Amino acid sequence: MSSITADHLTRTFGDLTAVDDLTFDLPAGGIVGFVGPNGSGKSTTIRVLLGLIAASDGTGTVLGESIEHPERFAHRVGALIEGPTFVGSLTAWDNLRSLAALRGLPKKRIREVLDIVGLSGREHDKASTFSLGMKQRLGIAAALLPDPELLVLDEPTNGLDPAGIVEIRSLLKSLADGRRTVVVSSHLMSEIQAIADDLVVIRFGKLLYSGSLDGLMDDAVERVIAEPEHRSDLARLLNAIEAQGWSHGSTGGIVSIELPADRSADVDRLARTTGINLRQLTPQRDNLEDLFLHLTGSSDAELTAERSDQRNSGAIS
Amino acid sequence: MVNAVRSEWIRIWRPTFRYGAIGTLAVFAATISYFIYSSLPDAGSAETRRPGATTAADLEQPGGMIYALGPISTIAGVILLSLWALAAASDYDTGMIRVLVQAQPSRLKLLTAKLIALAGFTVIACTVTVLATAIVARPLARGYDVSTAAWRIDAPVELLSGAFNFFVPTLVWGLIGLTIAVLTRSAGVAIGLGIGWLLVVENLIAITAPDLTDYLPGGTLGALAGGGSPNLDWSLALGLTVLYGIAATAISLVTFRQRDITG
Repeated sequence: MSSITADHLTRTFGDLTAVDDLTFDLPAGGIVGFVGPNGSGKSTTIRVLLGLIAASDGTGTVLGESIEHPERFAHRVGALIEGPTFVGSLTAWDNLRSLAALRGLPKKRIREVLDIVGLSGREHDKASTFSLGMKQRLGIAAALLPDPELLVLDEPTNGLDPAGIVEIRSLLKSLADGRRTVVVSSHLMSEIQAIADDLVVIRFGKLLYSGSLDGLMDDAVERVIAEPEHRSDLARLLNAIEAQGWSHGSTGGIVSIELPADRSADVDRLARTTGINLRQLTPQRDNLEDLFLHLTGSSDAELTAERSDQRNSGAIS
Repeated sequence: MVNAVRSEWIRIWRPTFRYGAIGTLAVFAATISYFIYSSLPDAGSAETRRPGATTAADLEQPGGMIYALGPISTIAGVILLSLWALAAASDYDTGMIRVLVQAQPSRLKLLTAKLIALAGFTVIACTVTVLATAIVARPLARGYDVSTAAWRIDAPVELLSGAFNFFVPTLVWGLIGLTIAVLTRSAGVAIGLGIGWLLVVENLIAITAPDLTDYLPGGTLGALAGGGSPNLDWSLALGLTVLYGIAATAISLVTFRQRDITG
């Protein structure tokens, strides 16, 4: 069964196509990562799917119901979109009480979600006094109120310190039990790689990849990084590597050889037989960010500039 | 709908709104009442012949106990316009609108619930204002030698009709504030436009086309608050006020229903 589907989903704002003919099918259960650089259309796509913004073209479904009728799935979906939002002068309890009342939920559910996110004991403090990490957790608590089958979290680790990110990551893993799907949207690919089972990758509103994380990582390139102890040995090391027919590159005295990680020992042996001591010998594998850059060929700043150029030239309709 | 109203009420009944709006109205009621009584001219003095000046005779009429509601109504209108605008626009400012619309996709229900909750708040605010006016009237009357004998004549009717004439324009001012806030998605702009219209635009129109002023929002709502005016009797003022309220409600509902939630 699918949690979310999109069928040629498109949304334009004037001459800007924020969501461009997206088609994907997200499975139910587990964690789905929805990634792309800033400005790629992730939040707009989420808003279209959840009924906050109308699609310009195309259709989609959420938990089997058309996105044109969000009232049919709203009670089964919890969402945190672009950051937690609360009435600062109200306590955490009253903020959640207001949202629970809107959904017709009993007060005991408020206590349950506060326990889940680890905010028990702080419910009578004003939301304005919360740290950013606590506000994020309160936002997740609000999204959990309806005990949703589908939890959509847009940038849940935004602005958090490393400890906070680890906390949220752990919480998300615990939430993605067998009957719940968690969709996490983020521009931080390292975070998604750490938790996601499936992925949707977009750029300029267009789909680049949809499928399992493992499937994408199959394209990951493994390499062995080697650095000779003495810079003067670099040329001899490079000659020896070339003699082996290994594909390689070199930057600043460090050699990157395209070999599987389990062949690191071969590189070490080669260096020693050549009379070279290595300061560093590290197996490495492309991470999600590396793969994304390979998919797009550009950094975030370059993508932004490229999009701006396209808009100025009228290439984007 | 009941759930949506309950939800809205929890957010509206927050201390800043409660003490800010209701407290401010109560203080203004007492303060303006004091100024009315303390400014009473001596009988026979030149000031009694100044047009528009409140005299002891005005206050000694049946309904004199809540005479101050007339002058208070403009300030009450501004305060409630601001409150309704804040209540609507703060959902956009904070991003709360995203959460609300995702949880309750029926925008008609959401905005109607907000209207009902704000109307309830306005009833409470107006009741407090009427009570504050009535409570301070007697000691002030004693202090400034104003006879209260006629206040007992048809007192319940006078009190209810005065409260009605105070509540309805105040409610419509709130609706206007909410409508501008829904259109602009900004409390500051909504409040600025509302006050600017009342204090600047209508006054300018009064200079160039005075006959038109009575039918503009400020003129109409002010006439109703005063129980009618020389150019606009009570029933016509009420009818126009209701029309303004219906128009404001319709505009805000249609706009809110159709607009994308991008904030």
